[in-house]
Amino acid sequence: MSSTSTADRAAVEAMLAGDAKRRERTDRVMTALIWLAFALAVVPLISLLWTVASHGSVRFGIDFLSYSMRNVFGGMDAGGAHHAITGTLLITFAAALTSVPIGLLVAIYLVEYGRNTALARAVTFFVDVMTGIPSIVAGLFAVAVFVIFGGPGVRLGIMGAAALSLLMTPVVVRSCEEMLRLVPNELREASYALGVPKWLTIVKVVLRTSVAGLTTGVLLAIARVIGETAPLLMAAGLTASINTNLFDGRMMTLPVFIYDQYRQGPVPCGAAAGECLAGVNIDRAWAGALTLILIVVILGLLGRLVTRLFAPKLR
Amino acid sequence: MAVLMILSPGLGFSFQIFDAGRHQTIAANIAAKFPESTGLAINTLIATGLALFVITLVVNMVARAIVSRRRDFSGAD
Repeated sequence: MSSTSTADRAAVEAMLAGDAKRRERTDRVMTALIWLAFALAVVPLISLLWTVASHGSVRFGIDFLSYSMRNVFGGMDAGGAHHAITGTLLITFAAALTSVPIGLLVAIYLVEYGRNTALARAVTFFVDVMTGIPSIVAGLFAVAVFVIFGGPGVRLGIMGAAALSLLMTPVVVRSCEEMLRLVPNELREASYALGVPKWLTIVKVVLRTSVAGLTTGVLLAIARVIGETAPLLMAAGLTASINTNLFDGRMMTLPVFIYDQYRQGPVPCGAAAGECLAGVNIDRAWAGALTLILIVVILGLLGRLVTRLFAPKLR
Repeated sequence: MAVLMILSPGLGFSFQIFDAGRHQTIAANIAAKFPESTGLAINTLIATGLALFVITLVVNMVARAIVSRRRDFSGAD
């Protein structure tokens, strides 16, 4: 018996030795291919970041962050995006305040209570439909609703927040649902075995276990809507001044600021071009894009901090 | 919006996708015309939005039908 096994072993080793060169070659080719694919995937990202950073740094600075566009015209070497930053933060915050509680509670219902009931299936279907709503349609909806109360031509920051929360809710529901499904059933059962009621199990065990994933999901949803231009252009309008009241008057946001500056294009400076910068509008648009990217990055870092503070300690 | 910034819009339609100034998308059309519209023009734009929504709804439902038909053979959860 031992002789047959040694013979088998020798045969296998001979076979492997014969193939060793080919196998090594395949291994190296495949490694190279995978690295190449990775590099191909990263090239657009690096290129985009580099383009935005190099173009945006021309005008980006303290002045850009602290001045609005009020009384800035032509090719003046002045003005900034303070009004747009305020508007973006306020509108996105209001949208998140509306859609995160709704989305999280819907996800909890779908995973913990409504397993495959008719209502849960209907909710899942309509969440899918909402995911597919084009952003411009969300903007039209917000305008059509608020026109009933405010009359034609009404533009408010809260309308922009309503349009954004319409886009944000389904994303929050889907990502939170997936995260809650990842929590192992054993944890819930262990909690029930100790006599803990269901709602307390959800609050103390399920949500605590999945807090990292939930934060990531919410941040992804925010990052998805913070760059929306079309609904905000229609619902929140354009302005050159700082407006901190969501319920009164037009409100500028960063994507609309970028679009507006880009649309104005190069300035025709003429002969007396002392103070006039021909490319100032385009430079402001790039600096606005850089600001938007920085805001998203800072939000991501804050999310990491939340995760670190609230996630259960594994060791 | 990206389309609105890049595309030079046209008023007709054409299948020559490499020609400039002969195409427009629903979303870009609404975004471009909405700020200067009143009354019936706004209703027209909302109607085009409804058409866009119906298109996405149909695509979504077809996708759902395909996914649920293949669900029995899927290894996921």
